Amino acid sequence: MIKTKDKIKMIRKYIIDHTPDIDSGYILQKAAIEKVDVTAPKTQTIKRKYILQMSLSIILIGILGIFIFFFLNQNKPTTLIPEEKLYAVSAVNLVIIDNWNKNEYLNTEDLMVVDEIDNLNYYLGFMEMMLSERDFNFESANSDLAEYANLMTLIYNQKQFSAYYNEIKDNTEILVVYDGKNYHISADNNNSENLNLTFTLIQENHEYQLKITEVNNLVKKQFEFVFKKNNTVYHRSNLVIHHNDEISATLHNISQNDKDISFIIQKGRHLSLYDISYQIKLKEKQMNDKPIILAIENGKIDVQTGWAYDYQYTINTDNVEIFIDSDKTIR
Amino acid sequence: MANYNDYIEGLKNKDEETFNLIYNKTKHTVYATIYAIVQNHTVCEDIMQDTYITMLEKIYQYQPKYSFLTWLTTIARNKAIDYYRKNKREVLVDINETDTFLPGREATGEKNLLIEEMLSKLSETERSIFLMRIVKRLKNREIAEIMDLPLGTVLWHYSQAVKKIKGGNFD
Repeated sequence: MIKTKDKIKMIRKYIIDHTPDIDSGYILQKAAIEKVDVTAPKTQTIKRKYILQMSLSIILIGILGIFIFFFLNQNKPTTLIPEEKLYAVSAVNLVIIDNWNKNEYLNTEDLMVVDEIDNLNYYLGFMEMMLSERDFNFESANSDLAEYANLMTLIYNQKQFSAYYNEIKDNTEILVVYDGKNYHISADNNNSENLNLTFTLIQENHEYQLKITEVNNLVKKQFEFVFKKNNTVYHRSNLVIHHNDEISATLHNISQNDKDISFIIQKGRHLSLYDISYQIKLKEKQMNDKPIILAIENGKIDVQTGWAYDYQYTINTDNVEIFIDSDKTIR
Repeated sequence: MANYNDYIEGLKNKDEETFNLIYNKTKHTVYATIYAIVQNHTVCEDIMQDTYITMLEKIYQYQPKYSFLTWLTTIARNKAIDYYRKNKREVLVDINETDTFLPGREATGEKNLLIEEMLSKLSETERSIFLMRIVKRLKNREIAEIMDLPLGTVLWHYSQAVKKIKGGNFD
């Protein structure tokens, strides 16, 4: 069964593919330009504020970048992420990705950012797991499997993950048990001096990779996400979490090459978990390979925690407000 | 942001480079607008040419403080409607010739047939709004201006179109 979103993409591609090139010489020769005084045109009734919105609204396709700045807690000193936690969280995230059911959002205003909500959801969850001080969700326990000496349990979104491993070394095998199913994950440290990890999960015909390079553990941690399916990369991104006086993160989604997306996320005030500003630029590559920006969408997102520990998003742009609740519906 | 107003002088001077740039920026929207009405790719190409000729001829009537794309798309839509009205009789004759034939069908593959089937389920208004929205993601307010419809009506037609596309047994 074809998803509605895919049907829409098919139709869009169909129109774009059929759009002809034009003989500009013929058109220019044929046109007899009338030099006339301008009288009030039909568009006079458009409100001025809409004119600006219109000029912002020409859209093509794709994704290039996401930038996230994340302030975790400005009043408390930053602690380093323990190596065991890094391994366990990374392994669990590959399991989450394998069990990730992408939502289909239909948006009457067709904001570009709505297509990014699932990704944002994932990366916020990842950062929370990596950085959260709610360590009661994350604890060491005695291994109940003879093959593994260590066990760490992690509760995320009310779901429990068990990560088994032996001593952490250049090549570490991790077994994650989730929902009665076993996931064998290999973690390879490619550089003995600095942490340069590649986590790989092969599950049926899916191969997922999560690469982590620790550039300087006092300054930043860098994550590269590569999700493959049948040897085809379908999602790539880079996430850098900075540790200065405050914690911030930069996330680049490089899955596609004709959209730049940036999110600036700040620790929320009052009731919100995060205050996010975003900007999405759509660009089209020209014949000389220099891209031109076709449209820019700016907006703000207020993120709150839903009752089931998931995120609720309120998106505000110049002319529309959309609420995405824990049931993944849009109002 | 596509700032068309920087190119108006170039269009007035029939500058070919400027024209090509404007064409490449606007062609998909214009094509979608025309196709929604005539549903025939060959006819679409002819109306495309006419649209851009008219755009150049009337360029002195365009006021830069308004949306160029809306103005251009309105020209395209009016030309497509003119064509449709003039050729309505022939189209109706074609429909009656066979149960399965739909006007303008030029499907070259199963996927194209599927797409044309989906689009044929929409009314002309739904198809116009739907294609303007999905091809270049024009805002509802822009579409309302082009279609000369209230904003609420545009929203309703778009949601109806999506429902038909979603609910249709096209798989």
